[in-house]
Amino acid sequence: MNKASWIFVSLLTIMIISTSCVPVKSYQKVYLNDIEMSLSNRKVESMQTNYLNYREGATGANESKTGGGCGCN
Amino acid sequence: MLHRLIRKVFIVFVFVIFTGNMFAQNIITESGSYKKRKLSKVETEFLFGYYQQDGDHSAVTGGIGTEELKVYAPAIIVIVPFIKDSLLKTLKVDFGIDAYTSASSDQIDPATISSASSKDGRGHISINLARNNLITGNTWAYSVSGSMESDYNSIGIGMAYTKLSKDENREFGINGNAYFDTWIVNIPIELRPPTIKSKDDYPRKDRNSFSLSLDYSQVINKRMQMKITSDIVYQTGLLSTPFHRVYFSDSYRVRTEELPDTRFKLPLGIRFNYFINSYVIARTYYRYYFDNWNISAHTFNIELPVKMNSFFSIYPFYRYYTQTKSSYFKPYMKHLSNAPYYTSDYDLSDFESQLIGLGFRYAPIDGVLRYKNPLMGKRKITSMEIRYGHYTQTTKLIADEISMYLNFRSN
Repeated sequence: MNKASWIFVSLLTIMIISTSCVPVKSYQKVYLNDIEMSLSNRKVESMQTNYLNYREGATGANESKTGGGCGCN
Repeated sequence: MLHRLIRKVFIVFVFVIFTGNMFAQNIITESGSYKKRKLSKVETEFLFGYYQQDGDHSAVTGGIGTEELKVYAPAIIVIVPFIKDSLLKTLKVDFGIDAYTSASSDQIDPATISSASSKDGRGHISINLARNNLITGNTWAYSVSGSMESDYNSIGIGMAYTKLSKDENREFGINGNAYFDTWIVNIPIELRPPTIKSKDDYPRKDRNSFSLSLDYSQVINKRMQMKITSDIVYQTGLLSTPFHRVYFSDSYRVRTEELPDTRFKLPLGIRFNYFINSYVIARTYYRYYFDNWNISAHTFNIELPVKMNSFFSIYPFYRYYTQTKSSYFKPYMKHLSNAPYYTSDYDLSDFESQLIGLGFRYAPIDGVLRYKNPLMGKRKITSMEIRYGHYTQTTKLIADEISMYLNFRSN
């Protein structure tokens, strides 16, 4: 499969998952609001994401540098 | 120089921690047209990371030689909330220093022993102001940032908007950033023209980066939620590193690496978190990346926090990464001298990597540690987190990293 096909299949899968979602009220979010369920990087991970950006060719889509701000890739 | 730098940072850290309460005031008005609001308390966060690596493919020496590097990276983040009626404004100031020693940087000018280039530091600061409407859940945020090191300066600006759905099950965000950077072009000693006698004579070249980030979060059910993120990135200017050497198979001449002056990147990431049972959570992440330098990459990350009780959790994690090489990469002495672009930087080669580690988080209700400041009263460390990771690449690069996070608030 080429790149465009992968992107299309991925987006289609995500759309199917999204439409099967169950609405959850605020008082039912005891698990979702747990700090370990956060959809962001941990703050303690910031150094790790920095050195991975320096040492690898791929950057971005993870709340870290995408380019610029440093003399790195 | 390095220990003096760290000492200065420590003094600044102590000053900030012990005076960080000066903005924390309870403001209550009795006027009939205003609502009473108690001002939230200032948070101060301290981060410290230590990183070390070694390998055999230094780009400074053409793709061979030691890659030994040590980095000490303290940072302080101060978060000051202001609230009036239904508008919460949060000012966040983040500043830090990355102090590093690098055996390969010493090779930019190998004639000097323990040259200044083997030790360097990078100072950085960013200021972010966010305005959150507590009724609609929408947020606007604005940021400026800057960084400075011996051969690279950066100024950045950014703006973001986040919209929360009425049922608070979906969130959409858009974020734009621009960086206007300047290289102080420091090329290897043997390639410098005679007109360059000191650092003041080094030429300056620009590098500009523009990015647009889109993200979408969705609650799936009471135990599951996901987030999709994409960044569209365009860079222009001097995108090669001026002191990276390249050796050729058909010529004895050495040159500095030459890369195109534009680059387009597109990463797509998805996070998926699942609260498996009362004790175990699965945090997963996948990213696909490609750019117009012919690098494509897959990243897979899994973390399994185990909640030992309501305030202590321990989490093992594993990350797998694979990338294809850039069109412009070849190893030491494999390039042809008539190629328009060439690099022997193994960060742009094809390899796989693995990262394995362990972390723990401790956040008891009464705080980790309470102390009394004679000027500011009672303070406490509300939470702490420590994380260790061991990283290996198929290029034989090996690295270790340990980080610590502390959160301080007034008691």
